[in-house]
Amino acid sequence: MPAEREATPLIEARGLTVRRAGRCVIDGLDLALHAGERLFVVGPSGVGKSTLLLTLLGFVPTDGGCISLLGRVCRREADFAPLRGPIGLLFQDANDQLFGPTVLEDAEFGPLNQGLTAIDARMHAETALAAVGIPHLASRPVHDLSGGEQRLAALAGVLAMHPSVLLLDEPTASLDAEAATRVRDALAATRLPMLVASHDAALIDALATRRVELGKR
Amino acid sequence: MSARWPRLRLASTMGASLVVSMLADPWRVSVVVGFGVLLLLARALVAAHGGALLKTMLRRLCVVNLFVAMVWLTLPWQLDAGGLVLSQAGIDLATLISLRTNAIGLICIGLLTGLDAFAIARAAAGLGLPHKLARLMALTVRYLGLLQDTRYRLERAMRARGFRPGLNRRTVVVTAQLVALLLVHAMLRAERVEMAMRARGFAPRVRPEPTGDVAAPAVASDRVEVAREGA
Repeated sequence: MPAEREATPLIEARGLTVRRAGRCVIDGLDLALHAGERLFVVGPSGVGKSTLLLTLLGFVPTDGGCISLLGRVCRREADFAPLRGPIGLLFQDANDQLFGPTVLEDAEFGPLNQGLTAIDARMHAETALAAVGIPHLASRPVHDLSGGEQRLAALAGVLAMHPSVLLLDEPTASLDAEAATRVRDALAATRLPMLVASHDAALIDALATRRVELGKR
Repeated sequence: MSARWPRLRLASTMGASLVVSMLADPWRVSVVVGFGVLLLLARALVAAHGGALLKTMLRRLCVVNLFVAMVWLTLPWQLDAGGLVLSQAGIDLATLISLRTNAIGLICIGLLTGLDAFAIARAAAGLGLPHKLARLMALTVRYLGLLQDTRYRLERAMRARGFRPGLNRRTVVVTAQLVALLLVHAMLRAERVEMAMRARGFAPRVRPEPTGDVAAPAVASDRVEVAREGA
């Protein structure tokens, strides 16, 4: 049984093809993330790294290929929807992700969507904020945070849903060295398997167990 | 007590605005305008940087009076056999609207200056605004701020490439392009925000009943210790 689980990737894409505006962004990509892995997708800007992450969670329609998440083949929105949460997605721009009035309320958003009671959702949110080292920001308005704090708050919002896998889109982009280190440490502390799109060499060196390079077509 | 000040200020503003909007006698409205001016001066006097604050408040009052100018450009005129002529009834109404607008503007500026829009949204929620409306208000405030940031960044980028706005056709064309670009940005951001909400399990139509526990992930046992390859 353990051998069987080891053989089943947490995330798998086979022959994945995505076209946008008439351009082939992803062309027949094969990719698998296994338990225990921190897989980094690297490549020049515009090569389709962000599109790949969005496609894997069903936000961008595919033009071919097959996606399996946590052992389930996903084709339609109804297949993807219940897996958002168990698979947490951190967006490249934290401003797209943070919309709660305060950091704590934003972190509660996901757990409430999962059907938790308000009390439990708050507990999950507070634990997640503590996990990324920003419990002191709980009552701060999200628009009042620095770039690094926003990224950590967005990560807390994802972790509050207790994901099994993380998809991270440029988690340290546009951050100064100190903020990038905080994000890196917070990610390392999660000890979760993750698929990361990133250019950050320091982050790759610190966390990657494997890397895949996407090339320009 | 300090936490109640925004609510008190907002409640006072709303109450006073309601009263002014019901006044039909221009002289009475003028008295309120005078009171508003005194309020502005008092705020400036007690503030640490009174001059700068007064300047900010007057700038806001100028914006309010752009609306008043539009009223005077349109309302007092009527078309008759002799062409476009001023109407006494129109002048009276425009005067009343101008006085009311300035009175309410002065009260709002005098009482609410120093509170950011987010604090006002929270104060409104504290005054009993329904939760959903308060959240919508907070979201509106937040995304108006983001749009403002986007506008600022675009304008800065335009200036960096030598654009100098002026009273000319090119400025009109470029401003139209800027507005169009802002709308496109807003639409794209809305799409990304929607994705982010769905990525955290938000389903606008179907919301699960509270269960007290998170549904078990499909492969919960896949949450594993990570051993770096080669380590």
